[in-house]
Amino acid sequence: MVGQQVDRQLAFVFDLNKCLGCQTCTIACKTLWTDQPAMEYMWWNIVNTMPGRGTPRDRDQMGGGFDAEGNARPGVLPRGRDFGEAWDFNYDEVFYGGKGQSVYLHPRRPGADGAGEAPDWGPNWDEDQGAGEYPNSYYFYLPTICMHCTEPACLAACPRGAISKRQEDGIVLIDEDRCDGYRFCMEACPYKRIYFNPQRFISQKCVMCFARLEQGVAPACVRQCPGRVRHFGYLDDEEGDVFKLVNVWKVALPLHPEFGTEPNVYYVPPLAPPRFDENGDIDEENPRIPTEYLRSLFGPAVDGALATLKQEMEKARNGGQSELMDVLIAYRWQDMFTPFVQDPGELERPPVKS
Amino acid sequence: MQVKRIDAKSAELLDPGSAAWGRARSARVVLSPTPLAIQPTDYVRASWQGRPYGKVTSMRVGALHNGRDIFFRLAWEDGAADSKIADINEFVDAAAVLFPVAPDAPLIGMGTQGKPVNAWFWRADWERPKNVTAEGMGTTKRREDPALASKSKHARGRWSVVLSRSLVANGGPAGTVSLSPGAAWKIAFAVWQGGNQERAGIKAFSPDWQELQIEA
Repeated sequence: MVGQQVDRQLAFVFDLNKCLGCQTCTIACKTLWTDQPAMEYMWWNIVNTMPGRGTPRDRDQMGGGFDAEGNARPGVLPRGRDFGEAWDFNYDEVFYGGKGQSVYLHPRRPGADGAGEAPDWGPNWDEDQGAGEYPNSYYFYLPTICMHCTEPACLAACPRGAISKRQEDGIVLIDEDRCDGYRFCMEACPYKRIYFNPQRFISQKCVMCFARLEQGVAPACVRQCPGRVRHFGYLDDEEGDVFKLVNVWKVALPLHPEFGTEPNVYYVPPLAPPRFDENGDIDEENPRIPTEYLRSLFGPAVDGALATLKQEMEKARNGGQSELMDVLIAYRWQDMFTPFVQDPGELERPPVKS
Repeated sequence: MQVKRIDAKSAELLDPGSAAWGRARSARVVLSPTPLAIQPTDYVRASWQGRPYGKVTSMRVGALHNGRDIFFRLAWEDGAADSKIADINEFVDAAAVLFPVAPDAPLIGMGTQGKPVNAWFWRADWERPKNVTAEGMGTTKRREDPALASKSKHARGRWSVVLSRSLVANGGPAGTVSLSPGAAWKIAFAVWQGGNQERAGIKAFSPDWQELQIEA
C-alpha cells in the first residue's frame, strides 16, 4: 500500500435506487474518451445488472486489491472475451446481399479466429436477468467506473511508476508515456476497471474527465445522467451532496470494502419491495433483494444505510421534512455536482490539436 | 566471449541462417530467473510467488562484427513461438542484450543512478528492436534507434535471433553504449517467455556480466 495523503479527494455517489440502466453515462464516456481504433471494446463506464457476473465476466472472483493486512493480493488478467469484444454484424449480407428476407442480423466475434463464430459473452450480456423466482425475482443496476481509490492497487503494482494519484484532487491517472503495457495494474485492480490498448500497447481507464474538471465542468457521465443518479464533488465539502451522503447520513457505501483499496465511488444501496410468501401474501419482514446479498457487495454497513433510507422515506411520506430525501431527489440538478457547474456548451472551444 | 571480425556484408550477418555464423565461436550462456526479492513492487512479488518463471534456462550466443556493425546471434529452445498479441492477456517472446555504459554499472537492477546501462531489446511482434537505457529498476526508457536491426526465425522448436547495431553510438539515443574493435567490454542477456506471461523484471537472465572481446 502506498499511504499517500492527498490535499483533497473528488468522489462520486451513485444512487442505485434511481439508476434505470439506460447506459447514457456509458455512451457519454464512450463518445468522449474511447472512440479511437483499438478502444472499441473499452467501456470505462459500464452499468451491469446485479446479481450478475459483471464486466469483465466474474470480475469479483478475479482477485487483486489488498488483504486485511494490507498485502497485495494476486489477480487475474482478463481476456478480451471476458470484457466482451466489439462484435461484427452481417450488415452486408442482410442489407446488400439480397438475403434480407432469409437471414437475420446477428453478431459475430471479431478477428480472424472468431470470424463467423457467435459470441457467448458481451459487456452487458446478462442484462436484466437478475436472480430469484417469480414473484420474488429481483435485480438492480450497478454502474462502475475507476474508483480513484485512496489506496490504488494499480498504482502500487506498477513497476514503472507510471500511475499517479493527483495531490490536488486524488484523481488516479496512467501516464501513457511511462506505461509499457505490462498490465500488472489490470491484474491488481480488484474492480477490473482498467483496459489494455493492444495497438498503443498501454493500459487505459477512466480519467474522471480531468480536462473538463479543470474548466469547471462535471464529468460527462455525471452531467449526462438523465436519472439524476450521480452526485459528485469534493469529499470534504461539508455543503456538498457527497459529504452529506457519505459522512453525515452514512447512506453511501463503497463497493466491496474488503478489497482494501478505499474506493472513492460510493453507492446508495437499493431498497426493495417486500417478498411474497408461499401463500402469496406480502412478507413485510423480508425484502425481495436479500440483505445478505447486499452485505456481500457493500459490507455490514448496508444494514444501517437501508434503515436510515427507510426511516427518512417514511418521514417524507408522512409529510415531514427530510434533508436526506431532498438531497437524493436532487431537486436542483446543479447541486449534485457543485462546484463543477460550468455548462460545457458555453465554453470557448480550444483549437483542435493536430 | 569472442567477437570475431569477419569480412561480410551487414545484410548477410543479420540473417540468423547465414553460413557466416558457422565461423563464429558460439558459447552457451546459462540463464536463471531474476530474483523475486528484487522485483520492484509488492504486487509483482506476490503474484509470482510460487509461480515458475524464467523458463528459458540457457541460450547459445555467437558474436561477429565487420568493422562497422556488431552482431549477436541468440538461439534458444522454445516449443511455441509467441509472436503476436492476439488477446489482451497475452505477451510475446522477447530477448535483450545488455551493456554497462558506466564501466562499473551493476547488472542486477539494471544499473543504478549515475551508472547507466544500455540494452538492445528484441520483441517477437516488433519490426525493429528498441534501444533501452536505464539507471536502475523502473527507470527504463525505450526509444527507436535507426542503427538497430534484427532478424529472427522460429523453426523446429528454436528461436534464432540476430540483433545488430553499429559499433559506435552515433545516431543512437543518449546513453547508447559505444564499442570499438580491439576493445574489451561486458555484456549480459535476458529472455522473456511470452507464453508464460513473462514481462518486465519477470524473465530469465545471465546473472553475471560476461567478458566481451572485440577482435581488432
